[in-house]
Amino acid sequence: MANLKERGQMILLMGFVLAVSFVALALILNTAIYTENLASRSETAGGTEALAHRAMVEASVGELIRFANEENRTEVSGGLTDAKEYHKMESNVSQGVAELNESIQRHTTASIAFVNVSVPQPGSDTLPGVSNDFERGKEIEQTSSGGLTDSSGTINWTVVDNAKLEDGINGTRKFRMELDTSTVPSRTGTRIFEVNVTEGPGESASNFWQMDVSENGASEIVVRVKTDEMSPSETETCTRDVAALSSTVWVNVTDGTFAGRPCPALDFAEDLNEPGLTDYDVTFNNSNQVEGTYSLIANTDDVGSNAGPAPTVKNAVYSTTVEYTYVAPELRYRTEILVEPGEPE
Amino acid sequence: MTERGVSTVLDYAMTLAIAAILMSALIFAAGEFVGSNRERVVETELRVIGQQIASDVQTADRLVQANRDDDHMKDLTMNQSVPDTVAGSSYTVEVYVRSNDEVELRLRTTTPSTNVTVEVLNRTEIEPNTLTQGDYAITYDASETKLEVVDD
Repeated sequence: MANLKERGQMILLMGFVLAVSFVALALILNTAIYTENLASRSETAGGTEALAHRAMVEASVGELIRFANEENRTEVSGGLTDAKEYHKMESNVSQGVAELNESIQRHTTASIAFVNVSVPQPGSDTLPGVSNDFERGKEIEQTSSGGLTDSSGTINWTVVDNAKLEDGINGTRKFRMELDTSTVPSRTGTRIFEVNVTEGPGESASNFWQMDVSENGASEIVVRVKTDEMSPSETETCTRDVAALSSTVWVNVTDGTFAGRPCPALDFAEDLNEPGLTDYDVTFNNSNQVEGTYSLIANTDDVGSNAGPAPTVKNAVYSTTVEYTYVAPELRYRTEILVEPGEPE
Repeated sequence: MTERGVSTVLDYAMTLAIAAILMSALIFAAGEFVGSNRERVVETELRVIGQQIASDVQTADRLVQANRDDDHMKDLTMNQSVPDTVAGSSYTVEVYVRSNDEVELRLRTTTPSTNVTVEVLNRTEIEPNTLTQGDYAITYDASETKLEVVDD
């Protein structure tokens, strides 16, 4: 009997040790389940919402600027000084942002986060009176189809003089042209319409971006781009069949599209962001070789200085900066948003 | 009689020995089983935690990169937490910067000894550091234009 008792104790001991092992195993597997659960959770800090709201703010303020540039100005026809006109447009944008902020706050505070958009301060209505929150610029526009010369018929002329280049962000936006396809000259001809982006007369010629539009002899219209970074014989092109186009073709230089489709070659002022380079000129060469309309906005006063009735030059808000704040329980995000409508990121 | 006596003692000793061998083998096997499972769980958990941290760092990176210019970024703080221990052992997370756009999180436990490496896809520079606890914060250093991952 004594023997039996001892054996029983050993089996009991073994059973106990095994039981403890299995409990440990259960705990460990439980950890695994918890971890897998953690893995299936999506991002919890709210960064995605912060970015979505940011994009919405940027788009809305962009629309406010576009509206001010297109609509508000017509109400102040005649008699107003430049400063008064800028002040009026900026005040309208400013007021719009204030209303936008109010409506965002109403929709977000109760639910997910505190979102705030600072209201940009308009500049004063006397010169110089420029506000830190707004950048003033000029819009040049030719609305009725014709040669792309200046008002006195000069065919090689400076459209934009000294557009400011800051931190690699270029100073012209919403640059687009609608060209009459039947007037686009053949490439075999010596003179083709060109858009040149350079440092300007008397300055270094080692930095340039050049675009020309021509017909290649095979009933196709070609946009050809050359920059200083390419070898002399190299060019990048985009081609569209004339038969597939209507009587006009859009070349959207800022957006990089040609006839409504993306054109990778068309990357405005690409490679022009050399350190130390602070401004550039945009010139049209052989501008009588093609007919059409165009418009662009630049962040400088010196736009189309010879322009008369066609093309026309108007005051425009170039850009504005608003401060965007997003505060959620686990995220604090505060940044300035530079809004330049019509400028791709 | 003598034979029987020997037989009984031998029988008893052998039974004990066999039982002991069986039992220790069983206990050893059970221990090994639990141990290997623990190691596997620790590794899985470290990988999941690494991916959670990497995803938060990448979110912070996106928030910074949404700006067209570094100067626009004013403030970014993201507070997050992951478990302090994995299957009972503590761990460290090293933010290892191989080069500016090649950043790795190296997660380590000492008992059991496990190493897991998770890659971070980033465009903003990240400051190297080592985390020792579950609560951490991702902040942006505007003067150095770098992201920092620090204990919170």
